[in-house]
Amino acid sequence: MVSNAKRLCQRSLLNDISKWKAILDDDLYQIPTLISMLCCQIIDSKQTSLILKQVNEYFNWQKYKHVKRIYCTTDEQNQQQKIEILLCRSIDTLDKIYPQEFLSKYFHMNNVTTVQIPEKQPLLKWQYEECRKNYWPNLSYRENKYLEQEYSNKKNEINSKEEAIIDMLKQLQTNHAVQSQHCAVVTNSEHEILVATIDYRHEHPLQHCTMIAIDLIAQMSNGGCYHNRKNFLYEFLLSSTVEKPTTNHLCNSYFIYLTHEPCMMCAMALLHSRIAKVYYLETVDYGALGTKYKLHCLKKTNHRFQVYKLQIENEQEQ
Amino acid sequence: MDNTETAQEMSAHHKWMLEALKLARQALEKQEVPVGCVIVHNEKIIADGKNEPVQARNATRHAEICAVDKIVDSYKTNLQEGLKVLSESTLYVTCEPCMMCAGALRLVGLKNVYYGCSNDRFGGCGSVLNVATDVIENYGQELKCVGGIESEEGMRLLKTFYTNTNGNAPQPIDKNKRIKQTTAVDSTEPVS
Repeated sequence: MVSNAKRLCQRSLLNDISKWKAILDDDLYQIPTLISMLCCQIIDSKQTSLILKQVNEYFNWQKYKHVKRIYCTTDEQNQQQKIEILLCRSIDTLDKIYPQEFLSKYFHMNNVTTVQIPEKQPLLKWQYEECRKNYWPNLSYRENKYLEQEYSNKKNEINSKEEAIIDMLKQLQTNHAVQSQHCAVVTNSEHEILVATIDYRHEHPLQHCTMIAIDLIAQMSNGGCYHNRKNFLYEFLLSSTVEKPTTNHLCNSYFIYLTHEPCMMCAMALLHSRIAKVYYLETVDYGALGTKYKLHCLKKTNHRFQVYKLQIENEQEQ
Repeated sequence: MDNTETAQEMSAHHKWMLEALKLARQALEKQEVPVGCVIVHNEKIIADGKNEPVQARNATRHAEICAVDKIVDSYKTNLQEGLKVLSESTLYVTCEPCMMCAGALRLVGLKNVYYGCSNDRFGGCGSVLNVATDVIENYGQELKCVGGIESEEGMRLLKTFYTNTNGNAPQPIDKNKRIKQTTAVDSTEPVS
């Protein structure tokens, strides 16, 4: 679709480029929130199942299902089984939850310890291992393959279609951009380019390239309002092909490629437009998709999307 | 709210908010999410806006953006003058500005904002994030927001809209149906 002659010999630029780096929730980079629990040793290990049943009645464990309540070890010296059980949260008063006689009958009450457990199920394997090693060894965990993959950044290579898109962004910057160097390209999920645009913030403080791109998509289904703004895609086409009518709802399932990380207005505009993926080349200090905020990770909003930043090969991982 | 603000000033805010509510009702009639706003400068409405994402097929056409666009367009030849007017103006909007609009208001320097009901899903003045007053370097001016002006009516309009299901929303994918389809393929019936 894009003329080869017009695609500058900028491939050399791309030689350094390694990957898209997924911008993920901060929760994946830190130990999950911990809460402390009171832990006690059971006197008679044979009665464990009976005790567990009663303990579950006194202090419901539904909320902490990812943590197994019991941990069993064998004492190496006398070959005796030692069973520890989590009774309740440290902030609760033990005597108020359990009757005194129940406690003294079944547990070594002279040795109550506090143990930290993750409040929610660990999301990634490293978090699970870390919690098991340092806090409470008996946790249940289910691997989330998708998250692991995004976290390890293994599958985010730049394909040839994306190379062409990055070429186009660079050309928009050098040949068309007026004052602001911000440019945007919107594609469908097959990487077919639908819209290419530049930034007009010097003429209108709200007409950032992202806002223009969203409006040009609206114009393709006979909506939109910035009719004086041009879709630069046609500058790149060999022949002026007829505009394809789209029946797409907003930017649903579309991808946007940006030279710069979007600001809060643009990022939220993309969220409102139900974008599927956002790719950007450079960060900005007020950026809302990774630098200042991580808008796409918020749990209150009604749409979440994936965000990737270009990572240069020799750039160190943060 | 500022303690020095007199009852008289408060009633003025209500007066402008009633104007914004009129626009919200107009939006409702057009089956848009009912949000309206007015921009007031020197005791005069200099621009108004109502939500129009459905009509424009552009989800960013919120009332605030439409109103700001009107002003910037009318000062096309002298953007600086337009921005000066905006900085001296006050926005009255029936619902808390979303994070996009809060960002937009920062960018144009329209810092005096009075709003009605809060917006738990998208609100940019504290409900979800505090785009309005956070320190964001190189990102315009912080806003002075006051909420809760005629909030019951603003909320009532929104509720009216959402109880009469949103006819413009795309059909949700029925996941139950999807399972049935695959079972139909598995069966011996010929697939057309």
